[in-house]
Amino acid sequence: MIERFRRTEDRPLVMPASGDDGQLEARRQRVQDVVEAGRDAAQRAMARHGTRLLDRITQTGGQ
Amino acid sequence: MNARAAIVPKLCGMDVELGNSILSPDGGEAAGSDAAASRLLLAAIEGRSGWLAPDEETDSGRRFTGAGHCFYCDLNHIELCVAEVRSAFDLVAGWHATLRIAAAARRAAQRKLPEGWMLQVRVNNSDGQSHSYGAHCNFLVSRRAWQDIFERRLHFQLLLASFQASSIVFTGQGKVGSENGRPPVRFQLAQRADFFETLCAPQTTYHRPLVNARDESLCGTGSRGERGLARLHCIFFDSTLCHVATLLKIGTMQIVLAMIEAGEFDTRLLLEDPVGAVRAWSHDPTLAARCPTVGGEMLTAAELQLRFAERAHRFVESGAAAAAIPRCAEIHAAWTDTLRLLAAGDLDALAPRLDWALKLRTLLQVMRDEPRLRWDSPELQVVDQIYGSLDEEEGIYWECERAGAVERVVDAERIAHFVTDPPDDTRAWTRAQLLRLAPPGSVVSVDWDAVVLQVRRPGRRTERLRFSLANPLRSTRGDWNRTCGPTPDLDAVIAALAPEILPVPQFDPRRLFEQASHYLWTQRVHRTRGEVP
Repeated sequence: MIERFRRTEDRPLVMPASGDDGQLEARRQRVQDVVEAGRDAAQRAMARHGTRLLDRITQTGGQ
Repeated sequence: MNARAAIVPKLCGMDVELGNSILSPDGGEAAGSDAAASRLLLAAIEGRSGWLAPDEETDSGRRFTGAGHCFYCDLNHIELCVAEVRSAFDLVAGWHATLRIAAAARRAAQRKLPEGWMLQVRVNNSDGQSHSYGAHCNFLVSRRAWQDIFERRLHFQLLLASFQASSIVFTGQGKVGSENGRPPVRFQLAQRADFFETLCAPQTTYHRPLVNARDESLCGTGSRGERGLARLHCIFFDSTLCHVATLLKIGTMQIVLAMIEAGEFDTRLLLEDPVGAVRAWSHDPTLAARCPTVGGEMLTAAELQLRFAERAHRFVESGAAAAAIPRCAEIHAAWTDTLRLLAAGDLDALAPRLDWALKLRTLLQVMRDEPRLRWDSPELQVVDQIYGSLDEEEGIYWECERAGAVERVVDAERIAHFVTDPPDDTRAWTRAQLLRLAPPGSVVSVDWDAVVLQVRRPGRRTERLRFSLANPLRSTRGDWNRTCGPTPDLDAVIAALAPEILPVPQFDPRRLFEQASHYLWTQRVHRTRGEVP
């Protein structure tokens, strides 16, 4: 059943904490993707908004 | 298990407020930026409203789309309401579909702003300044179960609160710092944890409860209502973008509510203080914090969740929930697999699944790259806020999704389907079809459980017709096709569905004057508050 979650077009979705070399390699790749994509976007955000964003987005409290 | 209790299909939906602001080029934002932002966004979303749509602070400009979703302004936030579905997988798709609609609205509204101004929309639940806004989930339960939780068998209320409190290990979006007067913390699991202050209550904007007691079934009222059904309105969870987190947020609640309906209960699952546990667990992203059960055991959130999952395993294996929860076994498998990773503290494996882990992994990398940054650096709060930006070029989540770094449980085609088409297994189908067929200017009112049209058919006087959608499990595509045929015109639909005929109000100059005065007064109030762009 969990196989549905593990399948994607190019590589497994679920990366077990331990497993065969292929799974571990795929997991390492995915973690690298997270790191690179997240870091790049975060750097862009910091450059775009500086450090004052929080002062500029005060919201009305909601539900 | 209590064999006498029937389990109703665990129909589910969501109503979610987003953060929205207009940023000026010089940084000198005028008060009321969020009000103007929400109204600009709403104006860019196509949908149909009734003449009698409310114009209130918490419900302004409500409109339903041809896909069955609904959008409106709630306390200066654009609010997205996902059409009711039966499957948690479909709710993941429907949620991302409404986000696509909102993202398109942001782009359209942005084009109307002067050069240099920025309309920013954020999928989160806090502005970092102690203002929180909700991501509510709704579940169909039997009226008996509702009464058990809130009025008769309050141990089920404690069970639900204990489940929700411990679920933040997979439902939290993650947040830098604390708010609402809570003790300082570098990073915590949940956006909303600092804002829950009581166990159970009906309110949603202050002194917020873990278990919300709002009794608003959206299944008709009075003699027109479905008396055996109720809606559990859950205000506890965070907005999540990761597919797996969203699936688990909805799917595990479906399972636990089905267990409550079936009378499943275990005292080992009860926390001694769920409100205190939420804060303790949220403030500890190492997942090591322990909180007491009523039996005196000290458990981590993941350990308590594992107990719930084990109990649920027997329930799911028995087949008791199969008819009520589509793909129940798959949800349970994803739940237990994620708990295994949580128990192992495997942040790298969790990052593609859970928003808090993805956000924390990103923040840790940013800090590694720039050692000058500390947890109280404003740059990290910027990253926190931008994580869920609906600007696809800006939002960190979307960057990770494009990079293939996020596990998906629904494909892009299914999401695109729900941008334009309603779910076919609930009343959302008929509501959407009626709005598609209604002539311009004919919608008197539209809500989740009824559509009222005023039409004039050939050879007849003007009629006001009320189509009841009180039972959310009926009026499906199958029901529609059997009753009306696959492509009927409005006359055929009226003949087939035989709506209730309401009296058409006669022209009353005095009432018209009162309505016009009220409208002008509300517009003046909005302008005074700077809410009209």
